[in-house]
Amino acid sequence: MKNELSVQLNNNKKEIRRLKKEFNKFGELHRLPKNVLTNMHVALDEVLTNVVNYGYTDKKEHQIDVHFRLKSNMIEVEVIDDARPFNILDVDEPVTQKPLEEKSIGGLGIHLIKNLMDEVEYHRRDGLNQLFLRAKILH
Amino acid sequence: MEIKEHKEGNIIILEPNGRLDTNTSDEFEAKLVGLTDEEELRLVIDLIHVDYISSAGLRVLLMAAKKLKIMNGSIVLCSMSNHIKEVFDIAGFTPIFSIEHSRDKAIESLR
Repeated sequence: MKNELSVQLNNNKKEIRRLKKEFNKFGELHRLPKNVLTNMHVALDEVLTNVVNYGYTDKKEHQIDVHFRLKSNMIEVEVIDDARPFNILDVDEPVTQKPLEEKSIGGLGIHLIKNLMDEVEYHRRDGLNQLFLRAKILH
Repeated sequence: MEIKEHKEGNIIILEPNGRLDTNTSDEFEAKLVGLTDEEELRLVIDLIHVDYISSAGLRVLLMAAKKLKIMNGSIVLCSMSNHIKEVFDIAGFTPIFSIEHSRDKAIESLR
């Protein structure tokens, strides 16, 4: 059983759906706990939606590389894209405790990633964004 | 995505099926926009068959709640999984929504 999965996708939303399907197969094969799988799904949805919707200033097709690695007690996903530099760790925490009228969705996606994942690591190198997300697996 | 719609008296119950994420939120939004134009709408969103919700889905729920408030309507969510509860807590959504354990309780709270 391979402990790694690599998926290349183009910068459109349909591709995010395809990636999730591939990841589901990988998760089922390795019997990942449901909560880990679900947390990873939400984090991937947030990261890739950001890249696809806001990462590019041109209308060209771009490739995003996603690598999943299963380690002894954690799952790691690495996302590499050539979108504009964007370090989610630099983004200020949103004020989440607001009444309905003042509540907005800005920054909530990144806030979810940081809270649902155990580790987030970012590098900018050779004109690429490299983001690692890691979630512990407690069986 | 599949969204079942039921009516119980003057209460509308929506039951989305699957994920509320970047790929499904447009469809969910279109469904809600159609309903929330009505004055004094009583709406239950039953999340029993929703696997998870990301910020794209949260955005649609927030939009619906704001609209309903303006139109003197009410919205109640029910049957959330633990995961969805966790996401609601992290996002600060728990205090701003009416949330019930079951559909029956949700309907009762709107009567």
